[in-house]
Amino acid sequence: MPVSLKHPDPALHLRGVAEDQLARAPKGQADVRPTTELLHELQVHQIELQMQNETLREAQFALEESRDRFVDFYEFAPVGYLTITDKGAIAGINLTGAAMLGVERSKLLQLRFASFVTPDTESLWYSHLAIMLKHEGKLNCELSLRRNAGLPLHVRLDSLRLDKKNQAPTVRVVLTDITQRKRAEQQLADMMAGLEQQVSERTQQLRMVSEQLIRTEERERRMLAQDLHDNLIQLLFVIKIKLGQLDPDASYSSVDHIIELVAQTEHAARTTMQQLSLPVLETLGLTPALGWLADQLENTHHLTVHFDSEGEPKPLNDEMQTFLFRAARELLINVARHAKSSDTNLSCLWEESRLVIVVGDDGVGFDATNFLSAPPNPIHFGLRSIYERMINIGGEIEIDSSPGNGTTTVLSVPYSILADRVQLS
Amino acid sequence: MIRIMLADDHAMLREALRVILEQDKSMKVVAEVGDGETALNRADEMLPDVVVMDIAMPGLSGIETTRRLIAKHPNIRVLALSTYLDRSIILQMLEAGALGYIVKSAAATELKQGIRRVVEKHIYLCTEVAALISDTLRETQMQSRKPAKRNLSGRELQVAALLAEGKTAPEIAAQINISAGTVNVHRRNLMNKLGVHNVVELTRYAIRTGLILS
Repeated sequence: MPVSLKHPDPALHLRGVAEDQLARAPKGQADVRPTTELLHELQVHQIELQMQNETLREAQFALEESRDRFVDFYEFAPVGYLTITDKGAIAGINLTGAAMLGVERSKLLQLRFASFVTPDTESLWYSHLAIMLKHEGKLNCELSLRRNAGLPLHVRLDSLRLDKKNQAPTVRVVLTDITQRKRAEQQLADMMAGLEQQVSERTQQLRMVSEQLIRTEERERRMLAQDLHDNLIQLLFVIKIKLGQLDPDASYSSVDHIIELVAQTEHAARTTMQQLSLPVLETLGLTPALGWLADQLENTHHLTVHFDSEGEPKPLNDEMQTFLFRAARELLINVARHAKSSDTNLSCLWEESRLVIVVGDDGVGFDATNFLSAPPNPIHFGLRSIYERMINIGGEIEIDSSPGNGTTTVLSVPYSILADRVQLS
Repeated sequence: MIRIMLADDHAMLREALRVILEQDKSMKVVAEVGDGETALNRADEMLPDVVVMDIAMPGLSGIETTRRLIAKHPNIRVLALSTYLDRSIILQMLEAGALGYIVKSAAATELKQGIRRVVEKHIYLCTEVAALISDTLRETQMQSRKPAKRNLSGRELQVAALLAEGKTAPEIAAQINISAGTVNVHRRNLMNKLGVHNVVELTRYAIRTGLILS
């Protein structure tokens, strides 16, 4: 029979119930012991009950205290605790968690957790939940939560699945605010990007300055050579012709001497002019000039160079022509000095869309894989500057070399660049 | 009377040349021009016997001017008069149709003689030019006698073997870690060196020399 605790006096009520039971008990079994003995027994029993009651009250008090402590731990923990159903709904959440979501707790229950996740990280959440429901064990992921006001909150989820018999599994989630860390990471990344940007801008500036310097230098050289050719040398010719026309009977024996001096001066000026500019290059163009260069190396460096060319030459501007010629010369001089080559070739290939210049040798070679990162080596200084310049003008360079296998350097420049520059200059 | 046109962008030099030439009663300077285009126009007009032609002129070079002039007027003789003493330039100028070549430093002594020779359809080269050309001929002769033995570099041997095995340029490029363009450069060079023209010939060579196993 159920006992209602709602009765105004529970003790009185219990007594009534007990007396009822006693009245209904069969009379024959009535205790026949003397009343005093029964009274004593009842008193002992009462004391026992009182003691038991006391112990129970203490236990209950301890339990309440413990429960309060755990509620405290749960509700006010520095992290959010969530229980999520297998349908992705919030089944339970602590106060910290509710504060993180920015919604009152009572309104959160049964809402889908996904509705708090920012669209860009939503798919992360779905896959996280799916994995949790399929597999045992712990899992974590990082998401952003949208909130009514302010910036989204970056959180880390540490999840654990809970299985109960005959019930759908649930997922326990610890929610940690990592916004600070994210912000710091972002700042760091921004700073890095800024620095890299600065470095690349500076490098670009330096490249442009160096490109400008090289161009200026080459323009100056050409102007000087032009000047020597147009003025000084022609004037010397004129002087020489005029001196030669003086009356031979005038007995100026020194005139011959003067003519000789002028001839020497003219020779010196002409040599200077040829060093400054390359008449072959400017008069005949790149292909014949490279052929000439191959011949020259036999005389100047005792290097036999097999020259060949293919295709129809396209217009090149002076700067590009001079650069490619000097690059080929530099590469061949490197071969002569260091390669110990027995077979050297120079090719000038006017391909469909680009000009390719190849310098190849069968000499000692070097390790080209890390020549760019290696500390500057005087042997490779020229090569390095050719490399830099090729990159600057938008061409390509490949150096195929390894110890014992010879070196092949391929320079290629698209005509589009050459054409652009021709129009620019 | 030999009718002469002077083509040189330097006016004072033309003046000096004119004085020398006109000391000779058999020569007359009928025109003086400072660039190639004008030279072609004035030649049409004056039809000189000889054009004394500079090479480095603004605009059209002396070489190109000569080529066009001879194409139009095969009877006009061109005598090159240049600062340059350089084999390839001399050869190009002669190829363009000039009959003579004199360096300017020899103008005072050799110009008149040169003009007389080319008028008679002879070739005339001044002393320095003649020396340079004969050196060239001697070298060419010596080179043609030398057998052209060519050596393949280690890399070229490697590429040759892979090509003979039937690999394509992109496959080889991936295998030895260089660009396909450079593989093609190697292929071209090694075929030039071996004097073979296709992969079949190359494969034959590779088997013959033991580069690959047949």
